[in-house]
Amino acid sequence: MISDEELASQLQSGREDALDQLVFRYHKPIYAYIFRLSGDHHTTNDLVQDIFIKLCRGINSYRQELPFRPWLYRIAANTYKDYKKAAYTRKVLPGYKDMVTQITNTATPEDAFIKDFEKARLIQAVNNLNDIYRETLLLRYYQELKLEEIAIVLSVPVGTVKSRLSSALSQLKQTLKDEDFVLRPNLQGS
Amino acid sequence: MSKKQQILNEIKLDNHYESLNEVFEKLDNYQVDLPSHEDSKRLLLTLKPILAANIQREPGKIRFKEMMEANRVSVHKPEILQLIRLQSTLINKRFLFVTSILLIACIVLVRYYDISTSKFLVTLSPVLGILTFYYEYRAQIYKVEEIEAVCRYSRAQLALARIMVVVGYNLLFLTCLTFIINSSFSIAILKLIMDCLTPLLLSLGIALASSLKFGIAGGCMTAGIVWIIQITLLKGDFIFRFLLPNMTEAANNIVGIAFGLALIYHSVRRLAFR
Repeated sequence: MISDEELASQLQSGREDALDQLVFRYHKPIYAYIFRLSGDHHTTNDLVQDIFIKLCRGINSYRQELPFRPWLYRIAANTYKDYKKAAYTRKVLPGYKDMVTQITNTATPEDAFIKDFEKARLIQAVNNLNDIYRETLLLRYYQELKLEEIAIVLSVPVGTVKSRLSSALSQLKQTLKDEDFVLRPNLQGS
Repeated sequence: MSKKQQILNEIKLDNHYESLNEVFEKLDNYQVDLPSHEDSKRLLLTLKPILAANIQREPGKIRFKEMMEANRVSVHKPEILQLIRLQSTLINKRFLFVTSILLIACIVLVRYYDISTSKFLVTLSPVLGILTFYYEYRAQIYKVEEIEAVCRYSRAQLALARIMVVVGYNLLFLTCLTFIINSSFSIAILKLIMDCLTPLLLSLGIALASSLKFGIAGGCMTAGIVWIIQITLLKGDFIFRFLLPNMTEAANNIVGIAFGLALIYHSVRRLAFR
């Protein structure tokens, strides 16, 4: 299989087939990453498209001696940060409507309801994490990036990534253990 | 080793596997409805025209640095002259205002430290040298290095043109002042011009050379320290005269000018290789 870096090099020469392969390889992972951050399918679609447009426009600034995957995730992380900043300015905070309504409206044998309720509780617990912990956890656990790659994405030392990951897991464990932690109907972005 | 075990191993929490396993199991339930193959195809339809437009704008794999090098040309006299004409826009209202302020500041300092009138211009000229130094690094200060880098002239050519423009202006400025002082105090004009030119070139050379090692602020500070020493400890006397007391004044000036020019030449050459 051709490596990401080779595909990026071909893309720099303007080869469309390289773009095809990169999109088929990364569309789903980037979508999942952004959805877990934003919690809204419509927003995620817009942001993912924006990320890949930035990839096309900025491909000439990519240097082949660096790994491609963290470079792309860095674009994704920065795009989400920019969106969040703009949303905050417009006072339209990103919500988690899709996740929560989808889950809590499940029509309902009791066990399915409990299962969905547990899932909603987990989502809220993840979203309650501070951004720096949440993005580290998402990148390591769901996107399966290596610690070194996460360090490149977030522009922090590997040691910081480790400590953030450790804190994220400890906080999550604590929150989920807390019996008083219940799902709130109108969730807002952290 | 499983993914979960590996993560705990990385963050040195291997011993907490049992307690964190429950968290991991819950995390596993957090799945997302992913886009279909058709969604990816639709995305590609949006991206391909953008890629094509981008490639047209930046043909091939020519990198920024290569484009920059390709745009440069060797030093030819007409181009330097053209560059001097372009750089003469440096002498704007703001520049004239700052030099006038410096003039007033120097009058105050000379009066305050009771420096003789003949040494007035010797005191002023290093400040003009430092001002010239500021113009050498204006691209960095105004954060327009990228624009400057793609222009067809090298950094050394730009630096040289700026030195010629600003030192030329400074000389004109000092000469006018010399005439004014001469008409009032009957001092030999040539001697006074030499007295001014030496510290001016020397302070510019010191600022440029030290900036290569210590940065813009460091260069300014070094030249500034030399100037303060000149005002306070030497009572406005030229620093080379203090170091070489047995030489005649004219010889002192020539050594000072030669030393200043050598420092400027060295700095401009080093800038060319940066």
